[in-house]
Amino acid sequence: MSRLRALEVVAAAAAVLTAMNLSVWLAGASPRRVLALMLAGTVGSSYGFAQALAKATPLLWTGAAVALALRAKLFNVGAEGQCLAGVLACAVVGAALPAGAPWVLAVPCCLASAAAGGAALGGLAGWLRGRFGTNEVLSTLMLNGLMAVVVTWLYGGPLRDGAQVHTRDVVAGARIPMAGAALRAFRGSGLNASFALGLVALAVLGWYLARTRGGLHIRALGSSPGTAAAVGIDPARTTVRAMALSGALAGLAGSHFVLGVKGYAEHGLGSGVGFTGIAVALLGGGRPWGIALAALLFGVLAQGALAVNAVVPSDALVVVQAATLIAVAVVGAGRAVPR
Amino acid sequence: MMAVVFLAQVLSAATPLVLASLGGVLSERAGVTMLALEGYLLLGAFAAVVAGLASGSVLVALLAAALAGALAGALFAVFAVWRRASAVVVGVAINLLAVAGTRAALKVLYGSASNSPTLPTSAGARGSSLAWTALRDALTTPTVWIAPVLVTLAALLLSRTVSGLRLTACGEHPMAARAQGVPVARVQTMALMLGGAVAALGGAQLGLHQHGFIAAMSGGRGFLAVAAVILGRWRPVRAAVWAAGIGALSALEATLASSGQVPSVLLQALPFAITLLAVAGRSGKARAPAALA
Repeated sequence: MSRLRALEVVAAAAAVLTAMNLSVWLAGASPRRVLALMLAGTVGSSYGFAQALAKATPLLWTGAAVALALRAKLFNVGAEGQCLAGVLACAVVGAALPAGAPWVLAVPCCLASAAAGGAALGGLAGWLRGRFGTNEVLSTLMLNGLMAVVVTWLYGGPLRDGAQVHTRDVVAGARIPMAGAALRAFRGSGLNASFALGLVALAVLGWYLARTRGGLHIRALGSSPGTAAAVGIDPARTTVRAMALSGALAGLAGSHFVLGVKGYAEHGLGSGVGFTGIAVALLGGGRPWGIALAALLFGVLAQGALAVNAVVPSDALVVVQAATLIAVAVVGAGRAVPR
Repeated sequence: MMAVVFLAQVLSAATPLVLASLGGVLSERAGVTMLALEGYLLLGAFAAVVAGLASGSVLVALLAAALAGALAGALFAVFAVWRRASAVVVGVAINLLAVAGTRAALKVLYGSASNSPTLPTSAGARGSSLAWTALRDALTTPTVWIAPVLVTLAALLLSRTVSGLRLTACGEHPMAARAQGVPVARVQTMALMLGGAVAALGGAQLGLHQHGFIAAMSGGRGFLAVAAVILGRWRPVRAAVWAAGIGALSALEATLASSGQVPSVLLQALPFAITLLAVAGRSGKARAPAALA
């Protein structure tokens, strides 16, 4: 790290902290008290810590999704919609399985459908890009809007479970273990096995990009499309593959919500994690461990925002997320990200 | 009667989209990818409602919206032009900032995270029916008239004036523009501020039409406006026509949904689906400003 770069990072961190204190102060609270509350509500207690990890879980998946597409110089701003598609597919398949389905069948089945749901949406954007040259930023934004409308309708109408405004519960065998069941200290938190799965997925992603032919094609497309085409890599097919894989990762965030925390799908479940995933991917610098740390940071921020909600509106701390996103983009200007 | 209601709804639904897409055209013609239209709409709506509630004047509300948009555009320029950060990321961040910031400010100012108090409405209709009141409401909102005027002015600015040519030069070939002595960063900053102000006026229309601010009331319109920019091939008038068309689709949704004959999910999904198809079908022919990348 050059000295200038280090200076930029320090300046960016200072700017984010200033933004945080400013928004807290504008909301009429004492920054010191808010910070103390935030720390107490996250790293200060085992429950808060587990909750922060739970908030980080979907971000592991969406961060990985955005980072994978970025390696092919594709900007997947559709992790939002792809996650909604994953939640939907996971909940529908999970509820349709026979009641006594053993977990060895039910869990993989649900995971596969979550991945397929996200991959369908991402792959469509990739196909439009490869076939017609449609800008993927635009198509994924439209698909986000489309998915939001469709799931709101489905959860409020056709898929509604009687008087409840959510879908039918998935079968018992499809639920993945909650951390609270194993560790007394984590009881009541939303932390579940999807967190561990997400970490594994990040490691696999690192291996896939660095060591396999498919990963090589994706990186080649990202670094030099002309050269990639010249050595026989089909740009259209690689684009579809990168976007479908990216969508699958975003869709798998649904496992945290449907198989872990809730056991069903409902309106608003999984929304917001796609856009935050962009910040996670950028902050993580595209490296698996970087993404994991960035997801953790945003998880602490999200849980911390809830912890201080009585004093400061939790939205004031989303402003901090936006400031972090800009700070990361400024520090990383000219690297990795297509303008 | 249905036709009158529909016309009123087209006018009020198309105006925010037209103004937002014009803001997008001005920014992108200068060579800056503009995804923050959603955020501009929200900020404009919020500023207009806060100023309207405080002053009771529509003019002050509009000025406040334009000012908020210009400031947001300046913020965009600081990061995307002067610090050369990715414009896509800055756009996403400004959208996040607008959603969360307005909601937090709503809580602090009015003690509710979902909506503001209602703006006082003008004197009640005299014996006329609901449909005509709706039309009169639409026609007496100044933004409905401001939108076509601004579109015409922007078209003239871009095609007939030196400043417009310089702006376009920055979007087509910034190096050549710089070599000709055009201060590229400054021109782009001006374009972003102007674009922000115009798009935020579209937000003012949303707030004035709904007589108040509702959290996240832009509801994806900014993203539809982004599509209108591309469908209109970065020309003010064409983009406005597409935006008005998309607006008419949403108005159709509002009119038919109240009649209850067509499932509203289809109609709500329609603008997004048709826009996606149109963008896919026309993207081969589109010729973007070269510096957009």
